[in-house]
Amino acid sequence: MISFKNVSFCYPSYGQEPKKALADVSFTIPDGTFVGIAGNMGSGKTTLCSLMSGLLKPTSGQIERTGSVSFAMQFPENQLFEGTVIKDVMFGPLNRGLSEKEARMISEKCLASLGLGESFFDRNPLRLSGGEKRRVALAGILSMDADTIILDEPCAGLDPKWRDRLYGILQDLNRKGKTVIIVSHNTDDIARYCRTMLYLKSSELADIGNVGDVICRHEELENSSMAFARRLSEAGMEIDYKKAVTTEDLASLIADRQSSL
Amino acid sequence: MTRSRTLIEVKAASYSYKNTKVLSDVNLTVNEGQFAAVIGPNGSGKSTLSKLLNALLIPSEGSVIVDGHSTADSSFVYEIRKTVGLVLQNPDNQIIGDTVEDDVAFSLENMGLLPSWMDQIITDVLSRTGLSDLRFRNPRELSGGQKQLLAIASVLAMKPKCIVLDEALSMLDKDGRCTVLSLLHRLNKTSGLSVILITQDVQDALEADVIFSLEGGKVTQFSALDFPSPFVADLVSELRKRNLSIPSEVVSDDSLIRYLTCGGKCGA
Repeated sequence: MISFKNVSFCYPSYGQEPKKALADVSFTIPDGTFVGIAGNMGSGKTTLCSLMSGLLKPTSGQIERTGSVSFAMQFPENQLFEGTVIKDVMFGPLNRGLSEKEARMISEKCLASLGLGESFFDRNPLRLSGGEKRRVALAGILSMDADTIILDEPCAGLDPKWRDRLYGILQDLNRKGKTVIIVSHNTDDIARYCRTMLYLKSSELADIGNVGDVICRHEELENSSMAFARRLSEAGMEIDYKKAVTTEDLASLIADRQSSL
Repeated sequence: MTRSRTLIEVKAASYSYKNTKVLSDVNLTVNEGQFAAVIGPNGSGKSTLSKLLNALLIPSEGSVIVDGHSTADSSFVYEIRKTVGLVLQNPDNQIIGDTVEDDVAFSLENMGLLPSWMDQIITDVLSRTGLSDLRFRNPRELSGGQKQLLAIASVLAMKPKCIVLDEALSMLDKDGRCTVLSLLHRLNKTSGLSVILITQDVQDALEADVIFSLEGGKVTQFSALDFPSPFVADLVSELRKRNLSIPSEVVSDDSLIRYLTCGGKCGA
């Protein structure tokens, strides 16, 4: 569980007027939730993740957190530092006190789930392609086996296949009871995979709730399926476009409409 | 408008990192004023290709010719980098200024511009990329998306003949992407700027004059018309699961809307 009560955060400003990166934010994320965080550039998403993970302390307000948290920062590949892929992924589990054997087993499993087999284990992570580095870094986050996993735009730069695969892995972890919190600009992905949406606007919490409800309440969050449904409705098809939160919803609305004709 | 003069020619180029061959016998041409997109899975060599285009890397075999000069000829490196501006995926790798305006000014100073000209160019490019309000902020205080905008602004300020964006829009929000893509398309149409957009978003690639697809180190050229919109492909697949028959020639938003609203009685 992560709970924020009137949390504000200001970055230190050297001689300038301090700017609030987050202002008076309150919410509770219960255990086992799959949350998508959306918001424009500079709205405070990264600051929020850093506060949730404990990397930053609030300027004012209280944060309560239960269980362990692992946090994949933007461009997590910048966190790679070991000489080989396997050592990099094992670093976290070894620090949690696991034996060499256990750490290796969990690391190999996490790497395999992200398509990085044995041939990668002894390669230098810094010499891999951008997408491969990203997957090694994410394997390192997953190998921590934390109760809550926070990922700040993990899909930027991942190709569609690996984006879907990563969301699939996160869905599985969520089904097993982990709390997953993910930042994304892609409201199609949030609608498809997350159950709860947290929307930040100008450093304030604009909304939090069921993904479909939040998207419907804010025109600017309209995603591809809802935009397509709106165009269909404008072209004469009688459908309630606000119900088309995902492509599956949209297809069902169209199929129902066609069968009633 | 697509002009015919060749600006960049990659001829039978291969590139290997130690023993790993990343690009193999790649041939492609980008003309002045052309908008090209490069797509391909992770590890297919897109970033390596981008670095070959402005002489950050030199092909192990074959050649890359930029505006008539081979990138292997070190006496033209400065000219080549002025011609082809590269924006990297991770903006932290190319932002160096202490303020947003300093960062844009850095490349202009290196080009020997007068401060009064620089001021005008900086004002213009920050306004076009929506960063005017952040002009005096420290780039390290910016969000990931704002940093990506700054990296793009700094390269555009140099007025290159071609801009290569290596997944440089990946952290922009909807408004930011829209601002940058419209700006690139506008500069492409009005000033003849060539654009090479390396992207994972096929939807963005569909707006290009030509699409190069990289896979297994090889490149294949397509026209946007050969590609279905990924959203439409997904939706059509979902509709077929619900026993609706959609003709295979329906590949764009417009044709699908037309087909669905005329009850399947009219053509795609």
